[in-house]
Amino acid sequence: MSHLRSRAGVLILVSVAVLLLSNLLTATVKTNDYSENYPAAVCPPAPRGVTAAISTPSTRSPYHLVRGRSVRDKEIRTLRYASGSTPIVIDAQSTTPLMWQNKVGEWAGGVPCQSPQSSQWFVGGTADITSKGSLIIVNSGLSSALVDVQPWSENGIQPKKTLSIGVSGVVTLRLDSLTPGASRLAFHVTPRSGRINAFLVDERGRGLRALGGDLVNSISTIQRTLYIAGIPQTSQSTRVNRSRSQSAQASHILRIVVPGDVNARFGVEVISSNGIFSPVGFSGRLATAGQVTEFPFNPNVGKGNYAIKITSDQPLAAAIISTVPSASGRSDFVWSTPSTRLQDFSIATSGLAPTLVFTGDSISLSIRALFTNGKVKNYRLKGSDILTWNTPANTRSLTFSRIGKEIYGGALQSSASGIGFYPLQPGSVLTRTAIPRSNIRVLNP
Amino acid sequence: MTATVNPLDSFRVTTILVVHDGATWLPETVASLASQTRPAQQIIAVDTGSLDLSSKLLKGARIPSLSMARTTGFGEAVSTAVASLPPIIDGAREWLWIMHDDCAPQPGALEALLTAVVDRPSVVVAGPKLLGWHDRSHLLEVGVSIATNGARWTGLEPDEYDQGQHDGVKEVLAVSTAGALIRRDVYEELGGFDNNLALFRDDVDFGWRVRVAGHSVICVSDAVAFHAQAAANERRSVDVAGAFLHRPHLLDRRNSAYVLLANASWWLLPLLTLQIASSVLVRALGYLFAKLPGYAADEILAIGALFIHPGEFIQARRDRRKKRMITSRVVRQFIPSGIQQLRTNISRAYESLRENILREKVEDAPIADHISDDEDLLTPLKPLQWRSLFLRPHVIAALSIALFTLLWSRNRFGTIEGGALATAPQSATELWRQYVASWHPVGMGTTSSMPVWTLLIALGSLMVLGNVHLFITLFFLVAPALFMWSSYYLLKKLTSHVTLALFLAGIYAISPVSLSAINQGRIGTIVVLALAPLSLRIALAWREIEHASWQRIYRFALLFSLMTAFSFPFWVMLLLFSFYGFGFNYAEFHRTRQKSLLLQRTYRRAALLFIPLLLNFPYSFEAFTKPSRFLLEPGLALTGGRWIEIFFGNPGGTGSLPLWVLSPAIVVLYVAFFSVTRAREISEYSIALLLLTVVVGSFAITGNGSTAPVRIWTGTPLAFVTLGAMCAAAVMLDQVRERLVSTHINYRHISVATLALVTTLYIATSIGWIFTSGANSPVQTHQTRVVPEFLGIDPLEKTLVLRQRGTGSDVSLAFYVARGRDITLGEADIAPLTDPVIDQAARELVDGSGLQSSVVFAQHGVKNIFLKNPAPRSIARIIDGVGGFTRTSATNAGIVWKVTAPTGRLIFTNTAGVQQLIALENSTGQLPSAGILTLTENYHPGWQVLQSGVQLEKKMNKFGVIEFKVPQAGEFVLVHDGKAHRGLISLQLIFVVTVLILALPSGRRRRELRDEEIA
Repeated sequence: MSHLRSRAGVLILVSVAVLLLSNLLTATVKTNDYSENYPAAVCPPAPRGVTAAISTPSTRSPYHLVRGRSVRDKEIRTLRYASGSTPIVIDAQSTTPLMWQNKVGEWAGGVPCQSPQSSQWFVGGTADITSKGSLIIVNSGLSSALVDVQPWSENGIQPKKTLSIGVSGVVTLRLDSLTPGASRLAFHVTPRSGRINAFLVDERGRGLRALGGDLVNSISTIQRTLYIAGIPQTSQSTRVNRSRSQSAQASHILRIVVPGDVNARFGVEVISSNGIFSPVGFSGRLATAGQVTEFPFNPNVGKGNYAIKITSDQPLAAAIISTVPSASGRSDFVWSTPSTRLQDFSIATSGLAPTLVFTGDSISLSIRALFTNGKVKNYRLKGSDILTWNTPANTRSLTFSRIGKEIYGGALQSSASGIGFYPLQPGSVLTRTAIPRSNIRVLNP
Repeated sequence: MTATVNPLDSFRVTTILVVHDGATWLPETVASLASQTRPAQQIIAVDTGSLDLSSKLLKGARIPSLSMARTTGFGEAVSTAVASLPPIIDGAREWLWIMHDDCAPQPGALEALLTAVVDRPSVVVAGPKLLGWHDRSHLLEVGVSIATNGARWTGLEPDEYDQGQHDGVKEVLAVSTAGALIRRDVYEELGGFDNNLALFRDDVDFGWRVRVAGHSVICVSDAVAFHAQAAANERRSVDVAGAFLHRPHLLDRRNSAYVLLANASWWLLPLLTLQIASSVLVRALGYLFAKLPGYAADEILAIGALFIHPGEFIQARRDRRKKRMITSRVVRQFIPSGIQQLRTNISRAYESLRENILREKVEDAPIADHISDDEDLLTPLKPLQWRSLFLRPHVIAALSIALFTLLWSRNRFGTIEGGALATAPQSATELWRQYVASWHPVGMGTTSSMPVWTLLIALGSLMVLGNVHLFITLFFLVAPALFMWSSYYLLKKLTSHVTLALFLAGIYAISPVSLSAINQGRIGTIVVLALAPLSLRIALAWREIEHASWQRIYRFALLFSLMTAFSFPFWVMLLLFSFYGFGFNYAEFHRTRQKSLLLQRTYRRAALLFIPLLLNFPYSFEAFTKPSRFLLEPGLALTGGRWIEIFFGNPGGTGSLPLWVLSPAIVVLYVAFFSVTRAREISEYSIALLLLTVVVGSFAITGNGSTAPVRIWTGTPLAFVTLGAMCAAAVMLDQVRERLVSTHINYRHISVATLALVTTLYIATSIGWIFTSGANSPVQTHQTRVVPEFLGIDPLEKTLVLRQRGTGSDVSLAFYVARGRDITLGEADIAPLTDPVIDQAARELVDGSGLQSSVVFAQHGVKNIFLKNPAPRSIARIIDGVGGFTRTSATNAGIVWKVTAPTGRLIFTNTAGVQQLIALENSTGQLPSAGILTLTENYHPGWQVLQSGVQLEKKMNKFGVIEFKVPQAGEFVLVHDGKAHRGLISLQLIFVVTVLILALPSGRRRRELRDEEIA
């Protein structure tokens, strides 16, 4: 019996020792390696007569113009790059450069520079007689690109347009040529190939009289719940488009497109300093499928900018156009668009001092402000429902961190020529790319 | 009273007895001649220089004899005897009875012969039925002829028993000279036997000449003679003139060809020559395989001896033409047709195989005490119990495994591929072509030798008319049955319980390693699983290996070579096992000091260890420069399991059993470790192997065309561990029931209960898994091609294929250079790693920094980039943005970019630096001017460009491809010199044939056969 016990002991000892050794020796088989980087962001070209400036994160940020086959980067050497009619590609890493466009005395607007997009939804613009707007599509790649542009209007879905854009090419489509006569537009831009970014400029005028303008920001996907944080409060109503009786007296107009085949029943909640409420008539309202619909929207809210939350039973895209007087007293309008959930990122703010509007049930975040003189200041923001924060002057960048759950943000920037809106979301996200390895297995089913 | 005149009395018969060292048989011969019922009128003996007692015996018998030289031929001896006779009296019926000294006619033989010819005036030659000297029921000849390949044709089965089946008087081409009765006048008219045929085949030749002279030849079965065929059976030396080296076989073969060439119609000569030459080759090969090189040499020398003296048979043809009275076609009826020969040869081959392989057990026939017909009638007839047939364990096992396989393989009916199994080529010819090719267009090209297993697959597919797809599908389908059959073959030797052996064989067939190997397409492990039980038979006698004959050693070496061809890890195991054996033997030598025993064992072990390497040459020798091959199995390198899976006997990997399906094999081993039977020893070895496997399986290696490390696949050692467990179970559980019944409950009861429980659980869970998710294995039918058809228009065009595998966080991206198609069998084993420059270019292409990627690809002849779907759009966007590539298509299969710079297999750069592509047609092209010709293949000195018969100077450029310096415009030929490779293949063939010959059963020379075996 003792013999058996000793055999058992040896067997167990050896087995356990071997298993432990194997566990130690076990090679961690890495079938994949990754490289992580922020794709370079593309800033739009400035339309004729418009001055544009890009707030850059660093004077050493590499950039190149989207022109020809040269992709040789050089340092940008300024924190506020005066851009021209050529788009630029800027390697801003984790900080999103902001572009501010300004047509002196007529309108102003902003847009974050973004990495190439695979889907962009624009809700904004008009193609009626007041339209001077355009859809600008930039191919920043060194291969030619194919892009589908699908317009919608109040008349329903419009014929899709497929564009071929050459190497480092820019195509500008006038809105009135895309859907002549339509007053309410929405677009979906989907590249089939190429490094594509689209930008929508909504500029309007009647004869020589400017009716304002804005850069319309895009969203990547249509959703059932949308937050638009940063709708400017207007002190007086101004006519945006006198030709539209429906919205003739409105200071805000909610534009919705339901791309699917089923009508959407949606509701709107206004989140303001007065609290959260649903305006009369905006609970369970119907938006017709396949059409762009506008709803005059004049909630009685208290002082300050506000936000809305749109919930729907069908995926949709929406934006609010708000008519506001510019500092010069002329009227301008601004398109406030939905934001994605706020995440850790930075925006370059050189030369800008936007008003940030955050919304969420419980708002908490930290903002690290880097000033042009190199100083850093940290702010801890807390609140509920809605929180507005004015960016101190002379900041170089703002970094958002320690962000609570379900917080959405937008930024409003005003200037002498007008007001503009930026959704607070990164223009370029950290992209993880698997590093390829040589393996003949790829040639077997 | 009228006296009856016996017609036989009118015959005058002279017996001519030719004697040559025939003392052994002569007494009986003489006695039989003396006892004839109708004796010959006289006997003349011719002694051709006998060295034994023959001459004394003749004197003692008072037979007058003529003495002649020892080199005298048979025909010459007979002619001398005939010449000594007085001239023929007109009208006399004078006959010659030719007799050998080793032939004993029965008393009535001559009378029967004379009776047969008396009423047949056309018959001039009559011969007896010849029976064996020792076995006198053995039929030797009832007439004789010659086949078109020169074989002596008797029309009888080998060792045919005489039951009177051939009795009667029959027209034949010829009869043996032993006992032949020949009319003297015809003999003299035809000039007797041909002196060029000193011995052997003179009878056939004479019969042929008699026939074309317009006479008849008969065989009379009433006349019987017993013939020892002493010269043919090498019972005495052959000393006749012209018998080179005194070899009867050589003389026989030479004479057979002579007879055919001297007598056949002239227009048949080319065909006959061809048949003789080819049959000589076949027979020589056969004798070589039978390890009878002397006979093989005889075959070759015989033909050589004949053809270096063509004058002999040319003269013979002239002589025969003079005596020919009728057309040669008269003999056609006696020459066996090709079909007849083929049928006979097949029948003989079958009988030989049956005798050697499927030998029937000879059982003593039951002897009935008495037979009563009445009792037979009273016995009630039992209807056939079909139900009982299905209750037999073998039938149940066969049906179970068949049903199991059918359900499990439901996704594998058709052309299968996937997992580690690459696409099979259409035909065996392609595999063969690949095997002998010196250059393989895989990736950037390689000169590596194809593994031997591809050749074996090609040979195997000949069973299904060369359809490799069908062969592989069938192989995977029958694999579980093969595992079961082969393991049963081993296990039934370890247990007396057929049911237990079958049950354990079934467990082996559905063991985790079996299931994983089939699901993952591990063809190497499958072969090992099937052959492991056979290989273990030598392992059982591993320590005292000197008891194994060399022939047995070579057979096992062949088996091990086969297993090594499919699994180099098996050879590593063999190496370890051999070291163990060497160590054991040396320890014993240290104790006993028996050097000869040590050497015997060492030589045998060395043969078993190194012959597999030699037979897998040159692929095996290349492995020493690429050692990872020793741990890799055929096909694509897929990752194996974790250490915990391996410990439980599961090699792991995609398509393997989940860990919770616990194999009973390991439980068996750990229980058997405490057994008091031989199972304990088996379990000790198996557990040691298991633990070693667990350690080895912890490591990761790269290879088989991949830089991605994979955990080592441990299928081969686990196959042996599992088999060891089954063997241990067979030994341990044999008679266990009786022991359990006879004892109180103790640890044995608990152990057996545990085993039963674990086994039941395993069977239930594994079969459940197989019938559900287990069938969705990586190896399946209807797999979609990776490389689209349109990229394969030019089979040598290179496309860089990028492909993403996995989902979520377990995503990997890989690439390889394709040549217009998916890889085929064997290509993964020789696939070269891609050039580091290409690796870098591919990485930069994907991360977006590859501004020079397109240049690098162009320099290597890569024309297209193909991003296989499903692929992340981000990568497509990056490639779109990198530049140097033009997107040409985006389909469901994926996205294709064309490399913008002009590129191809052959790029010509003129002295001004202008590049242009050069097209090849049948390896020939046209060069426009002087310059540099770049062949975008991996550099190898075997590549040659010949222009006006001159080799162009070549070098490797900075991209690692080949550049040729072109001196002038003109046509050129591009070749890859494969002489060295073909030399290596030939060497391998020599190794294989040699070992095959050594492993085959040895033939025996006729002189080595016992008298009883001959006749």
